[in-house]
Amino acid sequence: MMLENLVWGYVYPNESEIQWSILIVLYPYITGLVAGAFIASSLYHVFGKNEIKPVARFALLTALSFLLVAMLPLLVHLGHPERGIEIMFTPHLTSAMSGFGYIFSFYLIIVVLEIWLSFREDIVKKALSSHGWKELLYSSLALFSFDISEKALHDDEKFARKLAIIGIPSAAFLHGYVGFIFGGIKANPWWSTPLMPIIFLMSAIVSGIALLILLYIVAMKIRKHAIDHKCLQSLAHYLWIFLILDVTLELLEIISMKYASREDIDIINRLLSDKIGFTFWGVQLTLGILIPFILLLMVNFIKKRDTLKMIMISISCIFVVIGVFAMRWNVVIGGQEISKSLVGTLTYVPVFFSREGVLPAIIIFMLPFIILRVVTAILPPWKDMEEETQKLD
Amino acid sequence: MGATYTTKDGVVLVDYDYCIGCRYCIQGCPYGARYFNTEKGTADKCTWCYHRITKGLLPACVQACPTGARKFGDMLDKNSEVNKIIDEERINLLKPDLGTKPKVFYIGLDREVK
Repeated sequence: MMLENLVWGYVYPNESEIQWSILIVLYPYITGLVAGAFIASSLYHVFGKNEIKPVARFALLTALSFLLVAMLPLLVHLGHPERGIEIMFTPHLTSAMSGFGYIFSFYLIIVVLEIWLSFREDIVKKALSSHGWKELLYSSLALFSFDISEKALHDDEKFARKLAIIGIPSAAFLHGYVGFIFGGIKANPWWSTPLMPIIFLMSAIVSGIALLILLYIVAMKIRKHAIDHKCLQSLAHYLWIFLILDVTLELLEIISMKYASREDIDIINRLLSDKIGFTFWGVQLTLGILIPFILLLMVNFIKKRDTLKMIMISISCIFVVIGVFAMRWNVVIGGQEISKSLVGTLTYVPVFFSREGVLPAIIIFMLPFIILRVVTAILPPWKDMEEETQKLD
Repeated sequence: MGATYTTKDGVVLVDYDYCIGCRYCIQGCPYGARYFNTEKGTADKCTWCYHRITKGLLPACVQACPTGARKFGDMLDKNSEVNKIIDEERINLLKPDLGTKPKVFYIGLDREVK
């Protein structure tokens, strides 16, 4: 494509290349799914919403699987990936970027501890009942402590609850921080807003719950196990509530920008009508929020007919996860498509085969699902449900 | 990381052995002054020809400018030519509202260059 088609107006000479590619779109997307899945699990662990119990442990494993991959797109994108770890050892605290390593690691520890406590009883039982390498695996996972007396389990539960209480602000902080990375850039009018962390957080919760619902339905179909419709509809209800909060904040940002009409409004208007017009109004708001909002509202009014409701919820969730991806795209790519001169625009053209191209993004995005498959094989999260069904039988 | 640093004589430079190439500084620069050096894999910027000015030479662009539109000098020295220009001429900054306190001054600039 000719350069003239990609650039409009006056742009600074150094801006001809878009610096943050699709991998940086993927980074807040994956981090958001982590935060959302974790907060969904806390609905049970902290707020005692028992109807969420069937997916509570699965949600933790989902959060872990995505968390393990969250820093990968960043690492691949770095000009010097081999120096990436130095951000932990020689941080420069005036840069918002320097906090990533600490916040990420702290949160990883919380999630791993939370999972360990939730699964400790299962791990110990498996360690005691298996032989050979499996015994060794589960014994090591149990840290060679096999006390599952009632008191020990009670203590576990108490500690897990406390941990989950710390976990919620940590999850909020992890993703709010990602929002701040963008919101703190005063040079960019599309990014620079104090609302950014909270917008990121709400869309994270929305995408995390939607992904969890989809994964739960798929997992139950694979295992040929009945779906707990009460749990599903309860999750859908929370999704609906967070969708409202999400869209309120997203629209609030646009409305205040348009109403205040500062000097950068012309370039913002051009961005919204031309550069990201379709992905913003069409995908992010209509497909990703408005349609799921209406569908989930209808689910509330339909009596019985669980299968129909499940289909409507699934469609909503698919639209929501696509919509949130579009939101990340519109922020990361959209923000770079306006020139710092504020009188010109640029165009991001994704490349398929390159280190920062679409192919590595697809591979990275497939990894958490593979990790989740392995983790759920080692630590099956469905035990409670099955025992309960067996009792019913 | 802190790969960007200010030298004792006031020049902002990038330490190429230290920069991880995250490009956050490029996003943060309101003037498009920074770019990604694909050969080095790090962020990069104008160095004011640091290799020349530390030897008493002028930056290459100042020396090569056919009309003498560019001036370069030591702002710490009160009697320097650049300080006189800043004191006496009608000078302006780019995007002063962002509070970046740039050290590039424009003479007779009514509005930003577009």
